Amino acid sequence: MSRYVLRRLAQVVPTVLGITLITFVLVHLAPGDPVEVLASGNGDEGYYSFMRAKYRLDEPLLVQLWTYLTNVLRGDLGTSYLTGEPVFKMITPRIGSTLLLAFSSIIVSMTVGIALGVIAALRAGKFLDRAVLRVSVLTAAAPSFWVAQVLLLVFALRLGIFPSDGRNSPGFEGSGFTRVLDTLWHLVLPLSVLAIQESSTLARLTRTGVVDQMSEDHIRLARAKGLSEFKVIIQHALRRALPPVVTVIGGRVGHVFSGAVVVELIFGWPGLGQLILSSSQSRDTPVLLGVLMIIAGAVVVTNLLTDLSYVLIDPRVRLR
Amino acid sequence: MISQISDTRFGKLIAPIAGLSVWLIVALSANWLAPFDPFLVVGEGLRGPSIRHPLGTDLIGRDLMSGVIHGARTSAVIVLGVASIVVVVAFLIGLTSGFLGGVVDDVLMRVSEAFQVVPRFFLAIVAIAYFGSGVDKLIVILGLTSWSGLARVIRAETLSVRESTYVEAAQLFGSGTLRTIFREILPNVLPTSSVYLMLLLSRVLLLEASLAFIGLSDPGSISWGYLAGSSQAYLRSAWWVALFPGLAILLAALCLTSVGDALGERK
Repeated sequence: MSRYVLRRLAQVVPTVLGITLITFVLVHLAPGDPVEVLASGNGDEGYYSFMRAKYRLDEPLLVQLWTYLTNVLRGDLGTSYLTGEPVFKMITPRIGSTLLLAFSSIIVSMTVGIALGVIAALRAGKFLDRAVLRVSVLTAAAPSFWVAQVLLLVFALRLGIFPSDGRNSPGFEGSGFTRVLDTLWHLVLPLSVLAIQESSTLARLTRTGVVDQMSEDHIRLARAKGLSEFKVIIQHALRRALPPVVTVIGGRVGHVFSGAVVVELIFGWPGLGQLILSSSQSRDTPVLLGVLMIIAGAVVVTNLLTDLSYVLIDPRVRLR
Repeated sequence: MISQISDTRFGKLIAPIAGLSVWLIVALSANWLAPFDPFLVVGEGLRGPSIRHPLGTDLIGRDLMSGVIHGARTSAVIVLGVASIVVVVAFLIGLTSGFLGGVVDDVLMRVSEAFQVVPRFFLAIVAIAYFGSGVDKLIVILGLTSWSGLARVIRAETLSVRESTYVEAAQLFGSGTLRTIFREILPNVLPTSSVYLMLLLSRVLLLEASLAFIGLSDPGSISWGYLAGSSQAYLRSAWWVALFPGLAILLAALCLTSVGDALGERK
Protein backbone atom coordinates (compact mmCIF):
# COMPACT_ATOMS: atom_id res chain seq x y z
CA MET A 1 0.00 0.00 0.00
CA SER A 2 2.70 2.50 0.98
CA ARG A 3 4.58 1.63 -2.20
CA TYR A 4 1.53 2.47 -4.29
CA VAL A 5 1.04 5.74 -2.43
CA LEU A 6 4.71 6.70 -2.76
CA ARG A 7 4.82 5.87 -6.46
CA ARG A 8 1.69 7.90 -7.06
CA LEU A 9 3.12 10.84 -5.09
CA ALA A 10 6.35 10.69 -7.09
CA GLN A 11 4.38 11.01 -10.34
CA VAL A 12 3.22 14.47 -9.30
CA VAL A 13 6.65 16.03 -9.84
CA PRO A 14 7.11 15.24 -13.56
CA THR A 15 3.46 16.10 -14.24
CA VAL A 16 3.74 19.57 -12.70
CA LEU A 17 7.09 20.12 -14.43
CA GLY A 18 5.58 19.04 -17.75
CA ILE A 19 2.63 21.39 -17.40
CA THR A 20 4.91 24.32 -16.51
CA LEU A 21 7.18 23.53 -19.42
CA ILE A 22 4.38 23.32 -21.98
CA THR A 23 2.67 26.56 -20.93
CA PHE A 24 5.93 28.46 -20.41
CA VAL A 25 7.38 27.52 -23.79
CA LEU A 26 4.05 28.19 -25.52
CA VAL A 27 3.81 31.67 -24.05
CA HIS A 28 7.38 32.57 -24.91
CA LEU A 29 7.27 31.14 -28.43
CA ALA A 30 4.45 33.49 -29.29
CA PRO A 31 5.07 36.16 -31.91
CA GLY A 32 5.25 39.77 -30.74
CA ASP A 33 7.36 41.37 -28.02
CA PRO A 34 5.43 41.53 -24.72
CA VAL A 35 7.12 44.84 -23.88
CA GLU A 36 5.94 46.45 -27.11
CA VAL A 37 2.45 45.01 -26.64
CA LEU A 38 2.36 46.51 -23.14
CA ALA A 39 3.29 49.96 -24.38
CA SER A 40 0.95 49.38 -27.36
CA GLY A 41 3.88 50.38 -29.59
CA ASN A 42 4.19 53.84 -28.08
CA GLY A 43 7.49 53.51 -26.20
CA ASP A 44 11.00 54.19 -27.46
CA GLU A 45 13.96 51.81 -27.55
CA GLY A 46 15.31 53.04 -24.21
CA TYR A 47 12.02 52.27 -22.48
CA TYR A 48 11.80 48.85 -24.08
CA SER A 49 15.27 47.81 -22.96
CA PHE A 50 14.55 49.16 -19.47
CA MET A 51 11.36 47.10 -19.25
CA ARG A 52 13.08 44.03 -20.70
CA ALA A 53 15.79 44.26 -18.05
CA LYS A 54 13.21 44.89 -15.32
CA TYR A 55 11.28 41.71 -16.13
CA ARG A 56 14.50 39.89 -17.13
CA LEU A 57 13.11 39.28 -20.62
CA ASP A 58 16.58 39.91 -22.11
CA GLU A 59 17.92 36.65 -20.71
CA PRO A 60 17.98 33.36 -22.69
CA LEU A 61 14.72 31.36 -22.50
CA LEU A 62 16.26 28.53 -20.48
CA VAL A 63 17.57 30.96 -17.86
CA GLN A 64 14.13 32.58 -17.69
CA LEU A 65 12.51 29.18 -17.25
CA TRP A 66 14.95 28.25 -14.47
CA THR A 67 14.36 31.57 -12.67
CA TYR A 68 10.61 31.12 -13.01
CA LEU A 69 10.66 27.54 -11.66
CA THR A 70 12.85 28.37 -8.66
CA ASN A 71 10.69 31.40 -7.88
CA VAL A 72 7.50 29.33 -8.09
CA LEU A 73 8.99 26.82 -5.66
CA ARG A 74 9.58 29.69 -3.24
CA GLY A 75 5.95 30.75 -3.65
CA ASP A 76 6.79 33.76 -5.82
CA LEU A 77 4.70 33.89 -8.99
CA GLY A 78 6.14 37.22 -10.17
CA THR A 79 4.43 40.58 -10.60
CA SER A 80 1.79 41.70 -13.06
CA TYR A 81 3.07 43.53 -16.16
CA LEU A 82 0.05 45.80 -16.00
CA THR A 83 -0.43 46.73 -12.36
CA GLY A 84 2.90 45.77 -10.84
CA GLU A 85 0.99 43.88 -8.14
CA PRO A 86 2.38 40.51 -6.98
CA VAL A 87 0.52 37.76 -8.87
CA PHE A 88 0.13 35.78 -5.67
CA LYS A 89 -1.80 38.65 -4.11
CA MET A 90 -4.12 38.86 -7.12
CA ILE A 91 -4.88 35.16 -6.95
CA THR A 92 -5.43 34.60 -3.22
CA PRO A 93 -8.71 36.53 -2.83
CA ARG A 94 -10.18 34.61 -5.80
CA ILE A 95 -8.84 31.08 -5.49
CA GLY A 96 -11.19 30.20 -2.63
CA SER A 97 -14.30 30.92 -4.69
CA THR A 98 -13.12 28.79 -7.60
CA LEU A 99 -12.13 25.90 -5.34
CA LEU A 100 -15.46 26.14 -3.48
CA LEU A 101 -17.39 25.97 -6.75
CA ALA A 102 -15.29 23.16 -8.26
CA PHE A 103 -15.05 20.93 -5.20
CA SER A 104 -18.65 21.32 -4.11
CA SER A 105 -19.82 20.38 -7.58
CA ILE A 106 -17.52 17.34 -7.62
CA ILE A 107 -18.83 16.19 -4.24
CA VAL A 108 -22.49 16.78 -5.17
CA SER A 109 -22.14 15.05 -8.53
CA MET A 110 -20.38 12.05 -6.95
CA THR A 111 -23.15 11.62 -4.39
CA VAL A 112 -26.03 12.19 -6.79
CA GLY A 113 -24.39 10.37 -9.72
CA ILE A 114 -23.52 7.20 -7.83
CA ALA A 115 -26.89 7.09 -6.08
CA LEU A 116 -28.77 7.57 -9.37
CA GLY A 117 -26.56 4.94 -11.01
CA VAL A 118 -27.39 2.35 -8.34
CA ILE A 119 -31.10 3.14 -8.53
CA ALA A 120 -31.01 2.87 -12.33
CA ALA A 121 -29.17 -0.46 -12.08
CA LEU A 122 -31.84 -1.81 -9.72
CA ARG A 123 -34.49 -0.79 -12.23
CA ALA A 124 -32.49 -1.93 -15.28
CA GLY A 125 -34.60 -1.68 -18.43
CA LYS A 126 -37.46 0.09 -16.64
CA PHE A 127 -38.62 3.69 -16.99
CA LEU A 128 -36.24 5.30 -14.49
CA ASP A 129 -33.23 3.52 -15.97
CA ARG A 130 -34.06 4.70 -19.47
CA ALA A 131 -34.75 8.21 -18.21
CA VAL A 132 -31.31 8.42 -16.55
CA LEU A 133 -29.68 7.19 -19.76
CA ARG A 134 -31.55 9.69 -21.98
CA VAL A 135 -30.85 12.62 -19.69
CA SER A 136 -27.15 11.75 -19.46
CA VAL A 137 -26.86 11.62 -23.27
CA LEU A 138 -28.55 15.03 -23.50
CA THR A 139 -26.49 16.73 -20.81
CA ALA A 140 -23.24 15.38 -22.24
CA ALA A 141 -24.08 17.14 -25.52
CA ALA A 142 -25.21 20.44 -23.99
CA PRO A 143 -22.68 23.28 -23.79
CA SER A 144 -22.24 24.31 -20.17
CA PHE A 145 -22.79 28.00 -20.92
CA TRP A 146 -26.15 27.13 -22.46
CA VAL A 147 -27.25 25.11 -19.43
CA ALA A 148 -26.10 28.04 -17.28
CA GLN A 149 -28.04 30.58 -19.33
CA VAL A 150 -31.20 28.47 -19.31
CA LEU A 151 -31.02 27.93 -15.52
CA LEU A 152 -30.32 31.64 -15.06
CA LEU A 153 -33.28 32.62 -17.24
CA VAL A 154 -35.73 30.24 -15.59
CA PHE A 155 -34.74 30.17 -11.92
CA ALA A 156 -33.22 33.61 -11.41
CA LEU A 157 -34.80 35.97 -13.93
CA ARG A 158 -38.30 34.42 -14.39
CA LEU A 159 -39.04 32.68 -11.09
CA GLY A 160 -36.66 34.71 -8.93
CA ILE A 161 -35.95 31.73 -6.64
CA PHE A 162 -32.18 32.07 -6.77
CA PRO A 163 -29.90 35.10 -7.17
CA SER A 164 -28.45 35.69 -10.64
CA ASP A 165 -25.13 37.19 -9.69
CA GLY A 166 -22.24 37.16 -7.22
CA ARG A 167 -21.25 35.17 -4.15
CA ASN A 168 -23.12 37.24 -1.57
CA SER A 169 -26.10 39.55 -1.77
CA PRO A 170 -25.12 43.17 -2.47
CA GLY A 171 -24.45 45.02 0.78
CA PHE A 172 -24.73 41.81 2.79
CA GLU A 173 -23.66 42.59 6.36
CA GLY A 174 -24.25 39.34 8.24
CA SER A 175 -21.46 37.10 9.37
CA GLY A 176 -20.94 33.53 10.52
CA PHE A 177 -23.80 31.16 9.82
CA THR A 178 -26.05 33.63 7.99
CA ARG A 179 -23.15 34.47 5.67
CA VAL A 180 -22.57 30.80 4.90
CA LEU A 181 -26.27 30.40 4.12
CA ASP A 182 -26.20 33.42 1.84
CA THR A 183 -23.17 32.03 -0.03
CA LEU A 184 -24.80 28.60 -0.37
CA TRP A 185 -27.92 30.25 -1.76
CA HIS A 186 -25.77 31.98 -4.39
CA LEU A 187 -23.88 28.73 -5.04
CA VAL A 188 -26.94 26.66 -6.00
CA LEU A 189 -27.24 27.67 -9.67
CA PRO A 190 -23.53 27.71 -10.66
CA LEU A 191 -23.03 24.42 -8.83
CA SER A 192 -26.06 22.86 -10.55
CA VAL A 193 -24.69 23.66 -14.01
CA LEU A 194 -21.49 21.73 -13.32
CA ALA A 195 -23.15 18.98 -11.28
CA ILE A 196 -25.87 18.22 -13.86
CA GLN A 197 -23.26 17.25 -16.46
CA GLU A 198 -20.86 15.44 -14.15
CA SER A 199 -23.47 13.51 -12.19
CA SER A 200 -25.21 12.17 -15.28
CA THR A 201 -21.90 10.88 -16.65
CA LEU A 202 -21.15 9.20 -13.33
CA ALA A 203 -24.68 7.79 -13.06
CA ARG A 204 -24.34 6.12 -16.46
CA LEU A 205 -20.96 4.60 -15.54
CA THR A 206 -22.08 3.41 -12.13
CA ARG A 207 -25.21 1.89 -13.63
CA THR A 208 -23.21 -0.12 -16.21
CA GLY A 209 -20.69 -1.24 -13.59
CA VAL A 210 -23.30 -2.42 -11.10
CA VAL A 211 -25.37 -4.22 -13.77
CA ASP A 212 -22.23 -6.04 -14.96
CA GLN A 213 -21.39 -7.05 -11.40
CA MET A 214 -24.87 -8.40 -10.65
CA SER A 215 -24.35 -11.45 -12.87
CA GLU A 216 -21.04 -12.39 -11.21
CA ASP A 217 -20.52 -15.44 -9.01
CA HIS A 218 -19.63 -13.50 -5.88
CA ILE A 219 -23.02 -11.81 -5.99
CA ARG A 220 -24.75 -15.17 -6.22
CA LEU A 221 -22.68 -16.33 -3.24
CA ALA A 222 -23.59 -13.22 -1.24
CA ARG A 223 -27.27 -13.82 -1.98
CA ALA A 224 -26.95 -17.50 -1.10
CA LYS A 225 -25.52 -16.47 2.27
CA GLY A 226 -28.85 -14.76 2.86
CA LEU A 227 -27.67 -11.14 2.80
CA SER A 228 -30.34 -8.55 2.20
CA GLU A 229 -30.57 -7.24 -1.36
CA PHE A 230 -29.49 -3.78 -0.12
CA LYS A 231 -26.30 -5.20 1.42
CA VAL A 232 -25.60 -7.29 -1.67
CA ILE A 233 -25.73 -4.22 -3.86
CA ILE A 234 -23.92 -1.71 -1.66
CA GLN A 235 -21.25 -3.93 -0.13
CA HIS A 236 -20.60 -6.29 -3.00
CA ALA A 237 -21.74 -5.01 -6.38
CA LEU A 238 -21.15 -1.27 -5.90
CA ARG A 239 -17.83 -1.81 -4.20
CA ARG A 240 -16.49 -3.75 -7.17
CA ALA A 241 -18.05 -1.30 -9.62
CA LEU A 242 -16.58 1.83 -8.01
CA PRO A 243 -12.88 1.83 -9.06
CA PRO A 244 -13.51 2.68 -12.75
CA VAL A 245 -16.00 5.36 -11.67
CA VAL A 246 -13.36 6.93 -9.43
CA THR A 247 -10.85 6.88 -12.28
CA VAL A 248 -13.29 8.79 -14.43
CA ILE A 249 -13.94 11.34 -11.68
CA GLY A 250 -10.19 11.95 -11.46
CA GLY A 251 -9.96 12.34 -15.23
CA ARG A 252 -12.80 14.86 -15.31
CA VAL A 253 -11.40 17.27 -12.75
CA GLY A 254 -9.80 19.36 -15.49
CA HIS A 255 -13.18 19.43 -17.22
CA VAL A 256 -14.85 20.68 -14.03
CA PHE A 257 -12.35 23.52 -13.68
CA SER A 258 -12.79 24.51 -17.34
CA GLY A 259 -16.55 24.52 -16.84
CA ALA A 260 -16.11 26.55 -13.65
CA VAL A 261 -14.37 29.34 -15.58
CA VAL A 262 -17.28 29.70 -17.99
CA VAL A 263 -19.88 29.41 -15.24
CA GLU A 264 -18.09 32.04 -13.14
CA LEU A 265 -18.35 34.52 -15.99
CA ILE A 266 -22.07 33.92 -16.40
CA PHE A 267 -23.00 34.07 -12.71
CA GLY A 268 -20.53 36.78 -11.74
CA TRP A 269 -18.91 34.29 -9.34
CA PRO A 270 -15.78 36.07 -8.06
CA GLY A 271 -13.27 33.32 -8.88
CA LEU A 272 -10.28 32.97 -11.18
CA GLY A 273 -12.33 32.96 -14.40
CA GLN A 274 -12.40 36.72 -14.80
CA LEU A 275 -8.68 36.93 -14.04
CA ILE A 276 -7.82 34.34 -16.71
CA LEU A 277 -9.86 36.17 -19.28
CA SER A 278 -8.56 39.66 -18.55
CA SER A 279 -4.93 38.56 -18.31
CA SER A 280 -5.14 36.60 -21.58
CA GLN A 281 -6.71 39.57 -23.37
CA SER A 282 -4.04 41.98 -22.13
CA ARG A 283 -1.24 39.40 -22.49
CA ASP A 284 -0.27 39.87 -18.87
CA THR A 285 1.96 36.77 -18.94
CA PRO A 286 2.94 36.50 -15.24
CA VAL A 287 -0.70 36.65 -14.15
CA LEU A 288 -1.88 34.18 -16.79
CA LEU A 289 0.96 31.74 -16.06
CA GLY A 290 0.33 32.09 -12.32
CA VAL A 291 -3.38 31.33 -12.58
CA LEU A 292 -2.70 28.38 -14.88
CA MET A 293 -0.09 27.00 -12.46
CA ILE A 294 -2.56 27.24 -9.59
CA ILE A 295 -5.33 25.54 -11.57
CA ALA A 296 -2.98 22.85 -12.89
CA GLY A 297 -1.85 22.30 -9.30
CA ALA A 298 -5.45 21.94 -8.14
CA VAL A 299 -6.18 19.48 -10.96
CA VAL A 300 -3.08 17.41 -10.18
CA VAL A 301 -3.81 17.32 -6.44
CA THR A 302 -7.45 16.33 -7.00
CA ASN A 303 -6.32 13.63 -9.41
CA LEU A 304 -3.94 12.43 -6.75
CA LEU A 305 -6.67 12.35 -4.09
CA THR A 306 -9.02 10.31 -6.29
CA ASP A 307 -6.22 7.87 -7.10
CA LEU A 308 -5.33 7.54 -3.43
CA SER A 309 -8.96 6.83 -2.59
CA TYR A 310 -8.40 3.56 -4.49
CA VAL A 311 -6.64 2.41 -1.35
CA LEU A 312 -9.92 2.73 0.51
CA ILE A 313 -12.23 1.14 -2.03
CA ASP A 314 -10.09 -1.47 -3.77
CA PRO A 315 -8.51 -4.06 -1.47
CA ARG A 316 -6.29 -5.34 -4.30
CA VAL A 317 -4.41 -2.02 -4.32
CA ARG A 318 -4.08 -2.09 -0.54
CA LEU A 319 -2.32 -5.44 -0.59
CA ARG A 320 0.23 -4.50 -3.21
CA MET B 1 -31.55 -12.99 -34.94
CA ILE B 2 -28.34 -11.42 -36.15
CA SER B 3 -30.12 -9.40 -38.82
CA GLN B 4 -32.63 -8.24 -36.19
CA ILE B 5 -29.91 -6.78 -34.01
CA SER B 6 -28.11 -5.05 -36.82
CA ASP B 7 -31.50 -3.67 -37.93
CA THR B 8 -31.94 -1.82 -34.64
CA ARG B 9 -28.34 -0.67 -34.87
CA PHE B 10 -29.05 0.65 -38.34
CA GLY B 11 -32.23 2.28 -37.07
CA LYS B 12 -30.31 4.11 -34.40
CA LEU B 13 -27.88 5.42 -37.00
CA ILE B 14 -30.52 6.92 -39.31
CA ALA B 15 -31.54 9.91 -37.19
CA PRO B 16 -28.05 11.14 -36.22
CA ILE B 17 -26.67 10.60 -39.74
CA ALA B 18 -29.61 12.56 -41.14
CA GLY B 19 -28.86 15.28 -38.60
CA LEU B 20 -25.20 15.41 -39.58
CA SER B 21 -26.18 15.58 -43.26
CA VAL B 22 -28.49 18.52 -42.60
CA TRP B 23 -25.66 20.25 -40.72
CA LEU B 24 -23.28 19.65 -43.63
CA ILE B 25 -25.80 20.81 -46.26
CA VAL B 26 -26.55 23.98 -44.28
CA ALA B 27 -22.83 24.58 -43.89
CA LEU B 28 -22.17 24.16 -47.61
CA SER B 29 -25.06 26.33 -48.77
CA ALA B 30 -25.03 28.94 -45.99
CA ASN B 31 -24.70 31.77 -48.51
CA TRP B 32 -27.92 30.77 -50.29
CA LEU B 33 -29.88 29.60 -47.25
CA ALA B 34 -29.27 32.58 -44.99
CA PRO B 35 -31.89 35.30 -45.62
CA PHE B 36 -29.41 38.06 -44.73
CA ASP B 37 -25.71 38.75 -44.37
CA PRO B 38 -25.01 37.72 -40.75
CA PHE B 39 -22.78 40.76 -40.20
CA LEU B 40 -25.23 43.29 -41.59
CA VAL B 41 -27.66 45.36 -39.54
CA VAL B 42 -31.01 44.57 -41.17
CA GLY B 43 -33.62 45.51 -38.59
CA GLU B 44 -34.24 46.89 -35.14
CA GLY B 45 -32.12 45.54 -32.28
CA LEU B 46 -33.32 42.89 -29.81
CA ARG B 47 -36.58 42.01 -31.56
CA GLY B 48 -38.10 38.61 -30.71
CA PRO B 49 -38.85 35.92 -33.29
CA SER B 50 -41.06 37.20 -36.12
CA ILE B 51 -41.88 36.21 -39.70
CA ARG B 52 -39.14 38.41 -41.10
CA HIS B 53 -36.64 37.25 -38.45
CA PRO B 54 -37.71 33.71 -37.40
CA LEU B 55 -35.10 33.58 -34.60
CA GLY B 56 -35.18 37.30 -33.73
CA THR B 57 -32.43 39.89 -33.96
CA ASP B 58 -29.40 40.63 -31.79
CA LEU B 59 -28.39 43.79 -29.96
CA ILE B 60 -27.57 45.88 -33.02
CA GLY B 61 -30.24 44.39 -35.26
CA ARG B 62 -28.46 41.58 -37.12
CA ASP B 63 -30.61 38.61 -38.18
CA LEU B 64 -30.04 35.73 -35.75
CA MET B 65 -31.18 33.00 -38.14
CA SER B 66 -28.55 34.05 -40.67
CA GLY B 67 -26.03 33.98 -37.83
CA VAL B 68 -26.99 30.46 -36.81
CA ILE B 69 -26.84 29.26 -40.43
CA HIS B 70 -23.39 30.74 -40.96
CA GLY B 71 -22.35 29.40 -37.56
CA ALA B 72 -23.06 25.90 -38.90
CA ARG B 73 -20.38 26.49 -41.52
CA THR B 74 -17.79 27.71 -39.00
CA SER B 75 -18.39 24.76 -36.67
CA ALA B 76 -18.32 22.26 -39.53
CA VAL B 77 -15.02 23.64 -40.84
CA ILE B 78 -13.46 23.52 -37.37
CA VAL B 79 -14.72 20.03 -36.51
CA LEU B 80 -13.63 18.58 -39.88
CA GLY B 81 -10.27 20.33 -39.69
CA VAL B 82 -9.58 19.12 -36.18
CA ALA B 83 -10.75 15.63 -37.17
CA SER B 84 -8.21 15.41 -39.97
CA ILE B 85 -5.31 16.50 -37.75
CA VAL B 86 -6.37 14.22 -34.90
CA VAL B 87 -6.83 11.20 -37.18
CA VAL B 88 -3.40 11.58 -38.81
CA VAL B 89 -1.49 12.20 -35.56
CA ALA B 90 -3.39 9.65 -33.47
CA PHE B 91 -3.11 6.83 -36.03
CA LEU B 92 0.56 7.55 -36.64
CA ILE B 93 1.41 7.52 -32.94
CA GLY B 94 -1.05 4.82 -31.87
CA LEU B 95 -0.09 2.34 -34.59
CA THR B 96 3.66 2.96 -34.19
CA SER B 97 3.46 2.69 -30.42
CA GLY B 98 1.37 -0.46 -30.44
CA PHE B 99 3.18 -2.23 -33.26
CA LEU B 100 6.79 -1.48 -32.34
CA GLY B 101 6.40 -1.57 -28.54
CA GLY B 102 9.50 -1.22 -26.34
CA VAL B 103 11.21 2.13 -25.82
CA VAL B 104 9.32 3.87 -28.66
CA ASP B 105 6.05 2.84 -27.05
CA ASP B 106 7.19 4.06 -23.62
CA VAL B 107 8.29 7.47 -24.87
CA LEU B 108 5.20 8.06 -27.03
CA MET B 109 2.85 7.06 -24.25
CA ARG B 110 4.53 9.35 -21.68
CA VAL B 111 4.21 12.24 -24.16
CA SER B 112 0.53 11.48 -24.70
CA GLU B 113 -0.01 11.37 -20.93
CA ALA B 114 1.48 14.85 -20.55
CA PHE B 115 -1.01 16.10 -23.15
CA GLN B 116 -3.87 14.40 -21.32
CA VAL B 117 -3.12 15.95 -17.94
CA VAL B 118 -2.98 19.58 -19.08
CA PRO B 119 -6.57 20.77 -19.25
CA ARG B 120 -7.16 21.47 -22.95
CA PHE B 121 -9.44 24.41 -22.34
CA PHE B 122 -6.72 26.37 -20.52
CA LEU B 123 -4.02 25.40 -23.00
CA ALA B 124 -6.29 26.66 -25.77
CA ILE B 125 -6.91 29.95 -23.93
CA VAL B 126 -3.15 30.55 -23.68
CA ALA B 127 -2.50 29.53 -27.27
CA ILE B 128 -5.28 31.75 -28.64
CA ALA B 129 -4.26 34.71 -26.48
CA TYR B 130 -0.70 34.58 -27.79
CA PHE B 131 -1.07 33.26 -31.33
CA GLY B 132 -4.40 34.78 -32.34
CA SER B 133 -7.82 33.29 -32.90
CA GLY B 134 -8.17 32.73 -36.66
CA VAL B 135 -10.14 29.63 -37.66
CA ASP B 136 -6.94 28.09 -39.08
CA LYS B 137 -5.06 28.63 -35.82
CA LEU B 138 -8.00 27.35 -33.80
CA ILE B 139 -7.99 24.13 -35.85
CA VAL B 140 -4.27 23.60 -35.30
CA ILE B 141 -4.49 24.39 -31.57
CA LEU B 142 -7.48 22.10 -30.97
CA GLY B 143 -6.04 19.39 -33.22
CA LEU B 144 -2.65 19.32 -31.54
CA THR B 145 -4.20 19.16 -28.05
CA SER B 146 -6.87 16.54 -28.80
CA TRP B 147 -5.09 13.50 -30.25
CA SER B 148 -3.80 11.81 -27.09
CA GLY B 149 -6.92 9.90 -26.04
CA LEU B 150 -7.52 8.50 -29.52
CA ALA B 151 -3.85 7.54 -29.87
CA ARG B 152 -4.10 5.51 -26.67
CA VAL B 153 -7.23 3.72 -27.86
CA ILE B 154 -5.55 2.87 -31.18
CA ARG B 155 -2.43 1.65 -29.39
CA ALA B 156 -4.46 -0.61 -27.10
CA GLU B 157 -6.39 -2.07 -30.06
CA THR B 158 -3.16 -2.56 -32.04
CA LEU B 159 -1.59 -4.39 -29.10
CA SER B 160 -4.49 -6.82 -28.87
CA VAL B 161 -4.56 -7.46 -32.63
CA ARG B 162 -0.79 -7.75 -33.03
CA GLU B 163 -0.64 -11.04 -31.13
CA SER B 164 -3.46 -12.68 -33.08
CA THR B 165 -2.83 -15.71 -35.26
CA TYR B 166 -3.87 -14.06 -38.53
CA VAL B 167 -1.27 -11.33 -38.13
CA GLU B 168 1.31 -14.01 -37.40
CA ALA B 169 0.13 -15.92 -40.46
CA ALA B 170 0.40 -12.83 -42.67
CA GLN B 171 3.94 -12.24 -41.50
CA LEU B 172 4.83 -15.90 -42.06
CA PHE B 173 3.69 -15.48 -45.65
CA GLY B 174 6.18 -12.65 -46.03
CA SER B 175 3.97 -9.62 -45.47
CA GLY B 176 6.15 -6.59 -44.68
CA THR B 177 5.63 -4.27 -41.70
CA LEU B 178 3.72 -1.57 -43.59
CA ARG B 179 1.63 -4.10 -45.45
CA THR B 180 0.77 -5.91 -42.21
CA ILE B 181 -0.22 -2.65 -40.57
CA PHE B 182 -2.43 -1.48 -43.42
CA ARG B 183 -3.93 -4.81 -44.48
CA GLU B 184 -4.27 -6.67 -41.20
CA ILE B 185 -4.16 -4.27 -38.26
CA LEU B 186 -5.78 -1.06 -39.49
CA PRO B 187 -9.12 -2.66 -40.52
CA ASN B 188 -9.44 -4.21 -37.06
CA VAL B 189 -8.54 -1.03 -35.24
CA LEU B 190 -11.03 1.11 -37.18
CA PRO B 191 -14.37 0.17 -35.51
CA THR B 192 -13.40 1.01 -31.91
CA SER B 193 -11.41 4.07 -32.87
CA SER B 194 -14.22 5.54 -34.98
CA VAL B 195 -16.57 5.26 -31.99
CA TYR B 196 -14.05 7.14 -29.89
CA LEU B 197 -13.43 9.69 -32.65
CA MET B 198 -17.11 10.66 -32.81
CA LEU B 199 -17.24 11.27 -29.05
CA LEU B 200 -13.99 13.21 -29.29
CA LEU B 201 -15.37 15.43 -32.06
CA SER B 202 -18.48 16.26 -30.04
CA ARG B 203 -16.16 17.38 -27.24
CA VAL B 204 -14.11 19.47 -29.68
CA LEU B 205 -17.32 21.14 -30.85
CA LEU B 206 -18.29 21.97 -27.26
CA LEU B 207 -14.77 23.16 -26.45
CA GLU B 208 -14.68 25.48 -29.45
CA ALA B 209 -18.12 26.80 -28.48
CA SER B 210 -16.96 27.56 -24.93
CA LEU B 211 -13.89 29.38 -26.21
CA ALA B 212 -16.01 31.45 -28.59
CA PHE B 213 -18.51 32.09 -25.81
CA ILE B 214 -15.87 33.77 -23.63
CA GLY B 215 -14.82 35.88 -26.61
CA LEU B 216 -11.93 33.87 -28.07
CA SER B 217 -13.28 33.20 -31.56
CA ASP B 218 -12.23 34.31 -35.02
CA PRO B 219 -13.57 37.87 -35.35
CA GLY B 220 -13.93 37.30 -39.11
CA SER B 221 -16.51 34.52 -38.93
CA ILE B 222 -19.73 34.02 -36.99
CA SER B 223 -19.88 30.99 -34.72
CA TRP B 224 -22.58 29.56 -32.46
CA GLY B 225 -20.52 30.08 -29.34
CA TYR B 226 -19.85 33.71 -30.26
CA LEU B 227 -23.56 34.37 -30.79
CA ALA B 228 -24.44 32.84 -27.42
CA GLY B 229 -21.65 34.78 -25.72
CA SER B 230 -22.74 38.09 -27.17
CA SER B 231 -26.19 37.59 -25.65
CA GLN B 232 -24.91 37.37 -22.08
CA ALA B 233 -25.15 41.08 -21.26
CA TYR B 234 -28.84 41.37 -22.17
CA LEU B 235 -30.08 37.91 -21.32
CA ARG B 236 -32.86 39.44 -19.24
CA SER B 237 -34.51 41.15 -22.20
CA ALA B 238 -33.61 38.86 -25.12
CA TRP B 239 -33.72 35.14 -24.28
CA TRP B 240 -33.75 34.10 -27.96
CA VAL B 241 -30.19 35.22 -28.66
CA ALA B 242 -28.99 32.76 -25.99
CA LEU B 243 -31.45 29.96 -26.70
CA PHE B 244 -31.11 29.24 -30.43
CA PRO B 245 -27.32 29.16 -30.98
CA GLY B 246 -26.96 26.94 -27.89
CA LEU B 247 -29.70 24.66 -29.20
CA ALA B 248 -27.82 24.33 -32.51
CA ILE B 249 -24.66 23.29 -30.63
CA LEU B 250 -26.64 20.81 -28.52
CA LEU B 251 -28.20 19.18 -31.60
CA ALA B 252 -24.90 18.98 -33.49
CA ALA B 253 -23.08 17.47 -30.49
CA LEU B 254 -25.97 15.07 -29.94
CA CYS B 255 -25.75 13.82 -33.56
CA LEU B 256 -22.00 13.20 -33.20
CA THR B 257 -22.32 11.29 -29.92
CA SER B 258 -25.33 9.32 -31.17
CA VAL B 259 -23.43 8.13 -34.24
CA GLY B 260 -20.64 7.06 -31.90
CA ASP B 261 -23.04 5.29 -29.54
CA ALA B 262 -24.80 3.47 -32.37
CA LEU B 263 -21.51 2.35 -33.93
CA GLY B 264 -20.23 1.20 -30.56
CA GLU B 265 -23.24 -0.90 -29.64
CA ARG B 266 -22.32 -4.54 -29.21
CA LYS B 267 -23.06 -6.44 -32.37
